[in-house]
Amino acid sequence: MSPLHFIRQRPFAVLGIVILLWLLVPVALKRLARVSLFEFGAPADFAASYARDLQQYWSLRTRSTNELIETARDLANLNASYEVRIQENDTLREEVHRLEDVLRLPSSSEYRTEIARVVRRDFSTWSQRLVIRKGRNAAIPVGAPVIFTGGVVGRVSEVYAYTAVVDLISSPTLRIAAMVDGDSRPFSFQGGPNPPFAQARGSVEFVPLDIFASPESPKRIVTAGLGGVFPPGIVIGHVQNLELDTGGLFKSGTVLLDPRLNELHEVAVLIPLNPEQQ
Amino acid sequence: MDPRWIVIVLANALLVFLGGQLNHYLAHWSVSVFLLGAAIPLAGLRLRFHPGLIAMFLSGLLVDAARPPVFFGSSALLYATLFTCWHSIRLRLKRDGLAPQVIGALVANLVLFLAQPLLLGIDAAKGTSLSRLVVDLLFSELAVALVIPWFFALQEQALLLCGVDLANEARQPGGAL
Repeated sequence: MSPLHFIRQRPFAVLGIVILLWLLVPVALKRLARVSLFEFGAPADFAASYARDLQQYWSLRTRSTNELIETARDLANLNASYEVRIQENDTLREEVHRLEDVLRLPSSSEYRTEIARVVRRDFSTWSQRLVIRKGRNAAIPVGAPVIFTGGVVGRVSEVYAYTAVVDLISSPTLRIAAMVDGDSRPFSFQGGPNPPFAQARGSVEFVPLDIFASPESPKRIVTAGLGGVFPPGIVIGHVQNLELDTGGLFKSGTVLLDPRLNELHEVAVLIPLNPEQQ
Repeated sequence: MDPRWIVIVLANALLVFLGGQLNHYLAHWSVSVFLLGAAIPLAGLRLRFHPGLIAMFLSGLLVDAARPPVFFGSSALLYATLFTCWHSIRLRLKRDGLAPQVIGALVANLVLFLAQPLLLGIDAAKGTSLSRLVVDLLFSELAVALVIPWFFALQEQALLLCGVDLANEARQPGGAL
């Protein structure tokens, strides 16, 4: 029986052979193929991302001069307040370094910030990811925390030549050590589930029993800083109700995340300056 | 060299790209569409087994490269399996007209969609809500039903441009295999 005749007459046998051969392919070769195919598709997403930026630029060009002047004035006020906060931050940072020296404490991790535009949002039924427009070319490491003006965005899960993939904080695959703002006791935060046409959300577990939250007085949840990935004190979201879990020893609840997570255009990747301290 | 499998793979790459862009804009409303089932009808209805299997396998690898970490090749194996099943029964099915394309795409899309939690793991499956699953599935099936006539025609025209006339080949003796 010729090979072509065999292929036509025994399709399931051929399928079985293909499956077996694929399972025997070395993992390194599969990884190379995966990376190559991802990079093959990356220019198309890049081009679409630049096209969106160009579209936004030309739509702004249609605004009247008065509108632009008002917007620039508002931004100038905002920048002025940020300048004051930067100065306060520098003063506090110097104070922290001075106290670390006096008390002989190990220095806390410092980060440099890499701003990256979002190429594509991928909020599927099963996972929530972003593709950003920087990768190995900007020395972004796997596992780097990603934030935006509203707080935590997520964590870098894959890095390619010019892009990186960020697992969003609303993704069920992401867990972070969290705490209530003003309290130092850590508990667990995990992303998801995310209902349709609603704010992104997550859930908290192992919350101490003496912490209460309600829609009238929600509690702000921030990163605990454990594990060395996320600096402490970055906003995650707000919890509006906490209920006793099945064990009765802790509470659990749903966290509402920032609605701007669904429309991010730009994020900041925190790259540790001393990675060995992570 | 027979270009048909290359044309199909490139067309499916376009489908993955367009699906990604659509989901980028739908992310604002926390919904998404899953269009991967639209890649199968033309191969299932028109292509011979050998080029169809190659096209489906490579298309699956492209799909896996753009998705969250799964066993690389899982979509390729799923595509190859669905194509093989379709190919083995297609002589008993009606092959002309819109209905086989649409029904085939909807069924394939449903199977692929429901297979995702098995590929992504228990965390992903537990981390989604039933309402999100139902809404996304409904939107996905609707989008596939709308897209498939255009996509099917696009692939046929692309093959014609490369000198492959599937309709003519199907009329030849043994051309359906």
